[in-house]
Amino acid sequence: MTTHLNHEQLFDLLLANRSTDGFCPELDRSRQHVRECHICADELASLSRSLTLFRSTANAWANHAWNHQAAYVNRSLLPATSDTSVFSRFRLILRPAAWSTAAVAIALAVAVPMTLHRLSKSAEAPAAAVTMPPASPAETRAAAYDARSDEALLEEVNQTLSSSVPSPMQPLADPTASSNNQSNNATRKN
Amino acid sequence: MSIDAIASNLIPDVQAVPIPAATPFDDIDQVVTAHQKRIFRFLFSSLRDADLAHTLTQETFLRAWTTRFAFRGECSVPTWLTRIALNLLRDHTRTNRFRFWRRASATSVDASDIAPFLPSVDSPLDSRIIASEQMSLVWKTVDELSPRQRTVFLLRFVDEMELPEISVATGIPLSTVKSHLYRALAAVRARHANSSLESI
Repeated sequence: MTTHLNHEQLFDLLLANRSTDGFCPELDRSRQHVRECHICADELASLSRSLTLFRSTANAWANHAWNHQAAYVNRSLLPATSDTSVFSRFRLILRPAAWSTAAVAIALAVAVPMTLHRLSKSAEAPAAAVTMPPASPAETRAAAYDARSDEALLEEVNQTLSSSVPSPMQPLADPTASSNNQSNNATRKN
Repeated sequence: MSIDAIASNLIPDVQAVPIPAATPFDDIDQVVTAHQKRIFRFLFSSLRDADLAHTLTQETFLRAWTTRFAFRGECSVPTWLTRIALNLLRDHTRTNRFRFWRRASATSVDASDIAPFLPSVDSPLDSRIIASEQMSLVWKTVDELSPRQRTVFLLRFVDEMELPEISVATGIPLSTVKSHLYRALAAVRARHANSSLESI
C-alpha cells in the first residue's frame, strides 16, 4: 500500500521557495515521493498549473485595467499629444463647448419659466380688474352710502381747516352774537 | 553683548535641530515608478474596481510620502507599501462594508470575462477550455474565501510575496499566515476534486 502526500505536505511543496527552503529534510522527502508517485505528481502539477493560470490571468487583467486607466488619465490631462485621431480631436475640442451649452441650457430652463410666470402674473392683474363680477343692488347701495358719508366727513374737515377762527373761539369773533346771548341770558334771569 | 557672542550662543541651538534622515521615499517618483503597478495589481485583485484601485494606489503613495520618516528600514519598501495599501483597503471595506460586499457579489468573476487574459491564446481549443476551467475554479474559490484568507492568498499567489513578508505586511503571525494559506489551498483542491468527479 502506497501512502500519498497529505494536504500539508502537498501545500508545503506548493509554497516552498527552492532558494530558502531547499535544504529542509521534510521537503526533500516530499519531493522524492513526488518523483516516485505519479498520482501525487499529477495532483501537484494540476494544482500548480491552476495557481499559475490564476496568477497569469490576474496579472494580465490588472495590466489591462492599468493601461485602460492610464490611457484615460492621459487623455484627460494631455488631450493634444496623446490622441491623434480626427474624431477624438474633434470630440476634445467640442468638450468645453458641450459643457458651456449644457450650462446655458440649464440657465435658460430656469430663467424662462420664471420670466413667463412673472409676465403672466402682471397680465392677470388688469384682466382681473376688468373682469370683476357685477355687484348686487344691496352692495351697490351700501357702497353709495359709504361714499356719501365719506364725502360729508371730508367736507366737514375741509370747512374746519379753511375757517379763519377755530371753532372754540368763534363766540369771541362775533361780539354782537355775544351781546345777543347776554341779553338773552338777562331776560332769562329776569 | 556683541554680535559674535550672540551668534556663538545661537549656532549650537541651530546645530541641535535634528536633520531628518534620508529615506527611500525621498525620491518618490522613482518609488512610484517601481511599485505602482504591483500595488495596483494587488488592490485591483482585491476590489475588482479599476477606479477605486487606482485611487487607493495613489493614496498609498501619498501616505508613504507623508509618513516616510516613520519608515525605519525594518522591512523592504514593497512590504511597507503593501502594508499601507492593506490599511487603506481595510479602512475602505470597513467604512463601506455593505456597499463593498454588495458590489463584490455583483462583480464576482465570470470565466468569460477573464478568458481573454489567459496565456497562450493560440494553443488548441481543448487546452484552452481546460485551462479556462482550471483558472475559473481558483477565481471562484477566491471569491468564497474570508477577507483575511483572500488577502493572504492574493499576496502569495498573485504578488508572489514570501510568507515572512506577508506576515510583516499583514501583521499576522507567520503560523497564522500558513494556516490561512493551507485552508485556501484546501478549498481550491476540494473544488478541483469536485470538478473532476463531475467531469467523470
